[in-house]
Amino acid sequence: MNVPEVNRFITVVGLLLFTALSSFLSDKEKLKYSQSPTVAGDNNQDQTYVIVHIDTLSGDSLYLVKTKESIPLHYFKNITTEVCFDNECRLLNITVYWNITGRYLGFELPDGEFLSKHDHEPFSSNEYERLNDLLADPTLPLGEISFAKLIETPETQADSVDGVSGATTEDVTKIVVKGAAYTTYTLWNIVHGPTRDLVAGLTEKQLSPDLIDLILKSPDIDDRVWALDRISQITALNPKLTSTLLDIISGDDFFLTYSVINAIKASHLNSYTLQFALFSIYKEADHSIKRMIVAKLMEAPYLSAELTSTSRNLLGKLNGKQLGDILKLYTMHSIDDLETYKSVAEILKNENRFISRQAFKFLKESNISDREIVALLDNYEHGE
Amino acid sequence: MGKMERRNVIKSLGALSLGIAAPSLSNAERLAAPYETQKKSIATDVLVVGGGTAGTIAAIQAGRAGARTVLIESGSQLGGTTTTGGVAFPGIFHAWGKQIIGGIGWELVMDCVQLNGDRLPNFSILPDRHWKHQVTINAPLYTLLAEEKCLAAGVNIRYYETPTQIKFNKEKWLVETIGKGTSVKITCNQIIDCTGNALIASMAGFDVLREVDTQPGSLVFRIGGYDYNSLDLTKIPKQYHRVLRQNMLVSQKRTSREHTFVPYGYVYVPGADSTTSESHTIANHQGRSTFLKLVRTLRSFPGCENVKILDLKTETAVRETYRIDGVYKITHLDYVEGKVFEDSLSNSFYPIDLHRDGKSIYQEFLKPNIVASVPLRALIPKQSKNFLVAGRCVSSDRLANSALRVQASCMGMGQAAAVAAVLASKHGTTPAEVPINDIKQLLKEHGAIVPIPV
Repeated sequence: MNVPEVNRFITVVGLLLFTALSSFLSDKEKLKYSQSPTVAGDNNQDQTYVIVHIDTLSGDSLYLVKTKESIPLHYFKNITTEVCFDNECRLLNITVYWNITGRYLGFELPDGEFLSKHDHEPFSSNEYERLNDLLADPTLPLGEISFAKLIETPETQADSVDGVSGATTEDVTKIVVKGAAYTTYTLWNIVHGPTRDLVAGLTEKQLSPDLIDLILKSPDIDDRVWALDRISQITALNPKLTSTLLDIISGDDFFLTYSVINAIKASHLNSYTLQFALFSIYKEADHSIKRMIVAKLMEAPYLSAELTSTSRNLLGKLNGKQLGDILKLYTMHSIDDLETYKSVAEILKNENRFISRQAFKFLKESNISDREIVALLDNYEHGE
Repeated sequence: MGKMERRNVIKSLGALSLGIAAPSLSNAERLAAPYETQKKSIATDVLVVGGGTAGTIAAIQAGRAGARTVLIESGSQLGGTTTTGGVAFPGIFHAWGKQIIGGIGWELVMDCVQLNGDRLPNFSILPDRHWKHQVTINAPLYTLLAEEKCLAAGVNIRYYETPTQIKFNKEKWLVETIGKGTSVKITCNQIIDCTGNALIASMAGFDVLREVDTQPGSLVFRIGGYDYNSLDLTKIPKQYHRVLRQNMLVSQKRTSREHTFVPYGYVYVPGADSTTSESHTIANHQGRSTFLKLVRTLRSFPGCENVKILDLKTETAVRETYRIDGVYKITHLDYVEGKVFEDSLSNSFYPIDLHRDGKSIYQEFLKPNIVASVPLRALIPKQSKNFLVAGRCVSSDRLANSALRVQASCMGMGQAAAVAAVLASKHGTTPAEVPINDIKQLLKEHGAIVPIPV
């Protein structure tokens, strides 16, 4: 069943009281644990949910929760699966929540349900917290190995599953809730399994500059990087998103700055405003960010006259490497005005030969006819 | 003209042209003059000895700061441990969410990442293993870019040369080198010993120190031809699991930006010493025979019958040989407490990481927000003038050295030493006499990150 069919068949729209399914945010009776949301809904009363996917094998439905303005908030799935221990199986009923980026958001147990360990002991609140933290860690190796390989199964308990978690090795106990290896393993693989990618894919289809901007406000850095990695899917940046991106570049987080600059496409730089705003950060940026900004501007379809003029005034203050990079930018964009040439020619006097050589090389390759500059070049060449 | 006639003409023209060319081709050989070593004298401001991790950066920095710079390297390419040694995984440039080593070393790493179409790890997230913030780079690309940057900075690179003698006379160093058919006398104002072995410091008569028991070297390789996930590890002795796991081809194809495994394998070479041709030859022999034995053994295991060597580095990389006895010795305590001195010029961030007997690694992790630093005095041998070192031979005790020796720290030291040397050369003095704030200022102008004393 495809998404439109599902939507036609079971669309649940309107202002529903959301206590039944998303009450993990508000209902104090149920056991619920969560991480920081990518997008926090202000008011549950104004939230709606729709089924966006039905698993053809399990029949499980994936729900999208959104605001009345159709801003996606999170996804959830009611999971029913068997967890076995000591040769006994019991049904696990749990609702798992994902942020719109696919990041784990939390879990909730229905009224009266609880998680238990191999010795039938219910989870303590610390163990629920621990499970919540483990599920939030995508780097755990639980997806790379089979459960059998994860633990060493004692012969006497060959058929038991969570039962062996009592015998987990020191390494395994670092990545599972002690006494509940199978429960941890099963839930972790649900959280980080195909649904995660499905959720991210569904959000990708709804991406707009506004939604990316919203995700960039997430407290979680993985969400922000997720959004930055998808900026290239946006044809044009709006002023709000542009402003957010420039704020990030001006910030002190190297990786985010790097990600923003990488995310900006050549077509985005058709905007004079973005070009100029990007270069306005140059002066205060550190060495490697400066280089990234210039490299990005190399990709621009053109270089604005204002940017050329501003950069020209900086030439005498740059180190040799930075100067060389800016001059390459000029060459790339065929900047060939006399004013620029004269500014560069001034640098021929610099006592640092590495710096003056950058100027010489640029001017020499520009085939300049201005007599004054030609004379300066001749002098430089014979003096070197 | 008929067809036959034309053909005959063309044929005769061909014969004629052959007749003209043949004598010169057949008589092209000449008796060569007897092999003779060419003697040469060079004057320069700064001489960098060793084109490895620290020396490459030092040479580029010196050139960019406007100094006449000569770089001599006994091998055939730049990069040292990063390229020739195969540890194309430099780090660590970021700590606790901040960049702590920048400048030319970082510029090279970034250029490699960009030109190779790769991505950086997310430095904003604290890793569960320190090496996850090391950056994978394409080693051949690093070699090419390092050389390009040196040449662009006007550095006179002299491969295949090694110093044989050094003298200090009239405030200048006279260094004699020997290479393939070359014998060169280099007069310079300042020397930066980046040999990693404090070779030049020792040659110049300054004290150098060595542990009775040094850490093993490593010969780096990659193997393939097996599927790690399909192996029945219960049938393979445990000591081989790591080597098989680290070499999984899948580990080269990251789904995230961080490596799940250290992206290369290595065999230990106990006592590896690169100080002399003989000792380095022995280290290479040992590494190669150990590796060959390993490959033969691996091929006897089920699922590993088709193990193949994909890459083997040309020489054994060395962790520890000699250190200088410097004006200041960085101690273990200085390192783990992140002491910042008034003359600290670069940062260092790595666990204390002492490889012991090829069996275990003693590791001690830095506490949150701790970043160690390198003072200028640790780069200056006692009683020396116009002389600096950079790299793993920095003056430090053994435990501090086990952390300081890593690539990013050595790059930072290389840049710092070069700036100090350039300013000393410019002012006709010795590095210790250059105002420390002048050094810091010039370092910052060239993108380096200078520690700030509390």
